[in-house]
Amino acid sequence: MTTAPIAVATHGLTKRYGATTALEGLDLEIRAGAITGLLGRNGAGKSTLLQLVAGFERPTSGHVLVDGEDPFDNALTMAGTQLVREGGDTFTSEPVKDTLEWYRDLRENWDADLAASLVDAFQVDTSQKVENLSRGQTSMVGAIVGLAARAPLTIFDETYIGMDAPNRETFYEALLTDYAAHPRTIVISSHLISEVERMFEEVVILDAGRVLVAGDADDVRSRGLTLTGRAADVERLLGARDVLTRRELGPTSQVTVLTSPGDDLPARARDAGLEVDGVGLQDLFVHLTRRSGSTAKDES
Amino acid sequence: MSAAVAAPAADRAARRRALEARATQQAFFGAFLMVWAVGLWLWVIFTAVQILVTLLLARFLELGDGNVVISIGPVGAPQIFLFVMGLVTGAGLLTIHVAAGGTRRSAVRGWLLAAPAVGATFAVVSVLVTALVRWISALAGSAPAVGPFLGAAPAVAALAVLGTAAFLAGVCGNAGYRRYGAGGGTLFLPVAIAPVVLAYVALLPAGGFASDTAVGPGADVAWWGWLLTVPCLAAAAALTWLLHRRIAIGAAG
Repeated sequence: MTTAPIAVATHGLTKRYGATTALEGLDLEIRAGAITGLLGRNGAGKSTLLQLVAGFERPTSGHVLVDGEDPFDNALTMAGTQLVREGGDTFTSEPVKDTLEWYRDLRENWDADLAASLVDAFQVDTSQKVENLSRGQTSMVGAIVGLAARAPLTIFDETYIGMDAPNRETFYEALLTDYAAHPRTIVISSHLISEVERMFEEVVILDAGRVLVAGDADDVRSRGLTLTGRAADVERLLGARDVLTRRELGPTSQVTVLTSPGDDLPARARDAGLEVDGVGLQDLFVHLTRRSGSTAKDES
Repeated sequence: MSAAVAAPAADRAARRRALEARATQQAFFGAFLMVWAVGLWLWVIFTAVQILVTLLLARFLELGDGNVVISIGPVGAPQIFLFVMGLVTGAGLLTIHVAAGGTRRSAVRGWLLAAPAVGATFAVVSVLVTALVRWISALAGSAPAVGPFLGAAPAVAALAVLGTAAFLAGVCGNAGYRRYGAGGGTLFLPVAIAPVVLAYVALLPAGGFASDTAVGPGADVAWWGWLLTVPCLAAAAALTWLLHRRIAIGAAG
């Protein structure tokens, strides 16, 4: 039984659907044994990337390596990967228990006790047909599958759509508890960034099929800085740095800037009497992807 | 290659085989049990309708004068049912099989094994049901009611081949829809069902157009007729595998 966490790497990964390019030359590494947040706007290529990693599809060009192997129709990597997609992959016209039994029979690390406790926690009626469940309840079935499968590489792609706040909290707690007890590689793709970012150890931000930012979550967070102070002082310190947003309030200027690792800007800004604040991951994501979107429009 | 490198590679190969075997078994039982879960209803209804029709016709038609003959037979509905269940198997099981960590290869292998299993069991039940209906119709005095076969063994063999081919054609047809979309998939259907049609022509007397209704499937079939079923089944299996080999698993339902 293999339970060691699995690493993922992509090299020049490109996926096209007809004339639409979902991923363009993606180079990326997902660290084994960490929780990685995969962020991106709608159509950024998140789901496509995750389906390639899970072996659901083949790349148009380039490579994706899971545990060092091509995952497409690969018995080893597919058995070690659990992708939970939005809406789940279930027997829709059969009772929930049939779906859970199917996964139990195929997943060698399946934890029946955990599945049962999550069924209780989410109050899912397993005798109900999946098609009769609400959107949130269907998502709960996916969450149960994802956690109870205990796959070395577990991927949640917008798994908790439709879940109410208490159930989402239940899911987050269950995920963190189980992750602590059974470390594995977990990838979470989500638009609810402010809710889930506390779980991230690594972050990848995709935009238009390319990697915008990737790295340690704390490092990524620290790359965003908001400087507030006299406009002249702010401008003097900025130099050639990447300005994400700029707001003028009379003689005062507020600038959100992207820094590089090891940048001494925070210290210099404080010395200059400027107010220095961090930028939350969600704000950084919004600034980065909004600007990227407008840049793309300008270029087109 | 050093022993240190070779050992883990051998372990991985062994583990790969074990995983494939487990997933193949799951695919086999998933398909077989699903076909029979629905198939039980088919046989209950099919048997009841045959008995009812036989008795009603015996009562209201003047039988025995040689002008009216009731033909009772398992060729047609059971094979169409297995074709539809092949479509349903591919549509209902492939996505969740892959989502649960199985490969397309293990799914197809499981279904290729399930095809003769459902084909053979359907064939046996077909012959038993036909015998039952013939017996009841004889009791009811509708003596002209005749079965579709002279001997049970060739009938079972022929029906097993037809059922196997029909199920595979259904699985193949579903893969065609997945690969080529609604329009292309429909255009592909004749290719998918071609092996069934060929097997039908090979195993039914006079290609299914025999006027003697007492002669059933498999009876008086020449050796080359049986031989022809081998490439039919092989073509259905190969087509099924080729279509599934690179199939993409679409959006979750």
